[in-house]
Amino acid sequence: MGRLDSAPAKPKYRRLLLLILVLASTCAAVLVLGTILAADGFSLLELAILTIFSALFAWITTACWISVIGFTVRLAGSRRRQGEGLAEGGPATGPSVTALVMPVYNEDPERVVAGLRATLVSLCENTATGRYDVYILSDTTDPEIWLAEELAWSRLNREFAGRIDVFYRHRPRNLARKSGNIADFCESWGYRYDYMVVLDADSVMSGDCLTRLVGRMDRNPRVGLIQVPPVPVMRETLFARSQQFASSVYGPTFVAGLAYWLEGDSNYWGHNAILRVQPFVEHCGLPVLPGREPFGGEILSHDFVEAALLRRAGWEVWLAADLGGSFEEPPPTLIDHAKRDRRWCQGNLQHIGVLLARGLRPLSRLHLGMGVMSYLSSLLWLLLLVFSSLEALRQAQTEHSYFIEGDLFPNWPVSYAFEATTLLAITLVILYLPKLLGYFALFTERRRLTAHGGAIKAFISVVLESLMSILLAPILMLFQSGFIVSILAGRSVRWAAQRRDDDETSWREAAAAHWVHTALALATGVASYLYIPDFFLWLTPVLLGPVLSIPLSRFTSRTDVGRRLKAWGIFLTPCESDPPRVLQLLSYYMSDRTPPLLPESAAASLFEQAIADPFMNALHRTLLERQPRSKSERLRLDGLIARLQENGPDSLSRDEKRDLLCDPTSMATLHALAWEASDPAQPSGHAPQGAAAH
Amino acid sequence: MEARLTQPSSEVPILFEAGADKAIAIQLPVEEQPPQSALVARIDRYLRAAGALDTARRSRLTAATARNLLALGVSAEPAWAEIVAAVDRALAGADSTEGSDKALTTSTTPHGRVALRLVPDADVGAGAGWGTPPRRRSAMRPQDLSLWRPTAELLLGLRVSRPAQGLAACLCWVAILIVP
Repeated sequence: MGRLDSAPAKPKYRRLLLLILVLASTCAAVLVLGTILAADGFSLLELAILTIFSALFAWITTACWISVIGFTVRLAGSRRRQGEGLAEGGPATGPSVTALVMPVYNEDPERVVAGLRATLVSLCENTATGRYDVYILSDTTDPEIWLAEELAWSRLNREFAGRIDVFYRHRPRNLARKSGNIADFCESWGYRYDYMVVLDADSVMSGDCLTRLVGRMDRNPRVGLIQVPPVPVMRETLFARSQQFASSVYGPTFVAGLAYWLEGDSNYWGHNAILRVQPFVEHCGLPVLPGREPFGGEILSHDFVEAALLRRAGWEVWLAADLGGSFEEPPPTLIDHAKRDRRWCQGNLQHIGVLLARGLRPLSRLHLGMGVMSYLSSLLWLLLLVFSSLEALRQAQTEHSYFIEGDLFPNWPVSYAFEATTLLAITLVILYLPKLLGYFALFTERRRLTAHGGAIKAFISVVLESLMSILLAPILMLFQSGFIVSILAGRSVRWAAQRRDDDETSWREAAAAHWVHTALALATGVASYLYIPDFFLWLTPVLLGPVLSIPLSRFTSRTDVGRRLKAWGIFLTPCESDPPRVLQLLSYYMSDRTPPLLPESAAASLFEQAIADPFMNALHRTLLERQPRSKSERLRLDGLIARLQENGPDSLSRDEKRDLLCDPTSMATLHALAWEASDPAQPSGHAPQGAAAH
Repeated sequence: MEARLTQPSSEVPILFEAGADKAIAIQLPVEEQPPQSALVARIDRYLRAAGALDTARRSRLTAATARNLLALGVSAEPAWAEIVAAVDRALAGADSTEGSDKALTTSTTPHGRVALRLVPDADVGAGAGWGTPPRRRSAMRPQDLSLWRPTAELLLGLRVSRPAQGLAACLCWVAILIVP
């Protein structure tokens, strides 16, 4: 299976339509602003304002028109149209073998396993054809989490024994992060599978969704990848619930629009997608970008690039807007959202170096460009505000000259209030129309409207969400602008696990994250009030969020507020009011967290238990892959064993413990030594500390 | 002795459950008594810690382990490393039904079989990588992402379609006549 040379002709009028709509509305808006600014001729500052405005306006207009198209498509009926390019019926290529792969990195093992368990139970309940295997691909570096993952895996493995094979693999060295983790799977076990479904650590997919994805791949041999939009669910903080509501109400309209004009040129979002393994192996090996980090080095946001590479090789990439049953968890708080943005920001900016790569399809370049723009737009917005303020200051300090030398007639000032107000109104419409369309789309499906709390509560939720986004958007703008500056300054991102619990933000944490925003907004507010009072009122909506960022960040992280609003039916989503079976299972498994396997020896760390307990030690060693070790390395490990014997586990660092855990010989030696040390040379002796007293 | 371990008596298939979270399926012959009480006690203690709660079944596995040690000529007071390896070998013998796993039943390196039976359909014979199927390396070749650069050929070979030429001409007229 290699390169596909001749893709079938695609109707291009949809893309042309979108291009015309975006260009026409942007040109109109730029013309209006140009008329206002050109009253006294263009200065450099005004030209800069016009340029930035046109880029930003085109950006928001694109999103707006996509939503309009999506709304029209949904109104027209049209689940059929959304997936029309992908056949669901017809001949299939035979029973296929699919791997569900879940890369994990220092995640909560119980949560990971609960999500997988729900997915697998749902899959078993579905009359699935073909075979499914599961791979937990661990890059975990924390020894305790690593061992907990193994225990959790052993339970999962036994639960599905005979139905679905669940495998666990731990990589001692995390080469190329998540993309390297997946690549290791493809290189080692890809030969066994036709397709792989990539899951994130918090992903949950229903059995129905999985089998339909496999069916579509079977029946569409030109398709290399199908992405199912993941719906954010399960969080209870105010921030996360508002995000979940927004995604639930506005998301389907937007995604339907995207799927409509992208067709087989869609994108990959990194998880909750099915990929054809062989073309992925052949065409999606990622190179190391030339230059130093943050722009060079390993490709961080691998998904967009992999989709572009698949497209370059002629494989189609589809967005399955019509499929449900694909879920993920959003960041619980504003600060966690910003932390995730920091990683994504660097990854997306890195794509600047890939944008002009040879042979990529124009729409792949557009995807990469839109990824860059999604962060760059924040910096552009900030620059627009700064330049507009400077322009306002310049105008405030310039007195109008009624008589120009050599001119007989007075030069009366011309008011552009109407144009300015119209432009503002158009901008607001473009920003809020997608939200309104999402709300109106609820009325086309009575069940969805009821599941969102009904017409009135859904409307209140839309208003509240809009107010929240007015307050939070400037804070995110400042965050993202800061990220871009720090990336340009050469600071690279650290690979850290995402927080997936509902812990509230403390005052200290909020202050540390937002004091700069507050100070900046206060300083700007005072300066504008003193020097350009006319402009101050215009700035207040932008300044209010950052000024209140510390209490806002803390308030929106509260779960009690989120739950209370849920009780009142505000920000209600179908996944809360009428959860699908797979989410019910997840909730059940999350609430029914299995107690630690070895409760009697809970005082000992899992590291100590892995040394002393026969079961854990054996389990761990069965999962290790033997690697040849040099003499010096062996001596170093022996030294660690000696130090452990003399000074106890606390004398070892996390990395040293991990090194010992990676070596089966050391673990066998330590196990024997632990039993040797505890041997009282009599039958009634006790097992060593850390071994379970069964 | 080794033959008996690798070809267990088919009349007495024994399954011992090692508690709710630790299931180990074992088949062992039952005809012999443990040879030395001190050694037996040590093995018994180890197996108990491993989760083998059923006394009768544990005693059979203990006997198999002790026999395994004696068959290899280990002293009456073996080191714990030898005991652990012997338990492992005894379990390997119990797992192997064809008697083809001689290397495993005589190995002095424990392979962690206390947990092996948790893995359904594990490839016991492979000896390594029990957590996953055997690897077959096929490298993902890094793709070329070198930058596109315009070339002279591109300019020379540039062809503008009639409609595009018409549109360009219209725009020029607009620029000349209307904008000023």
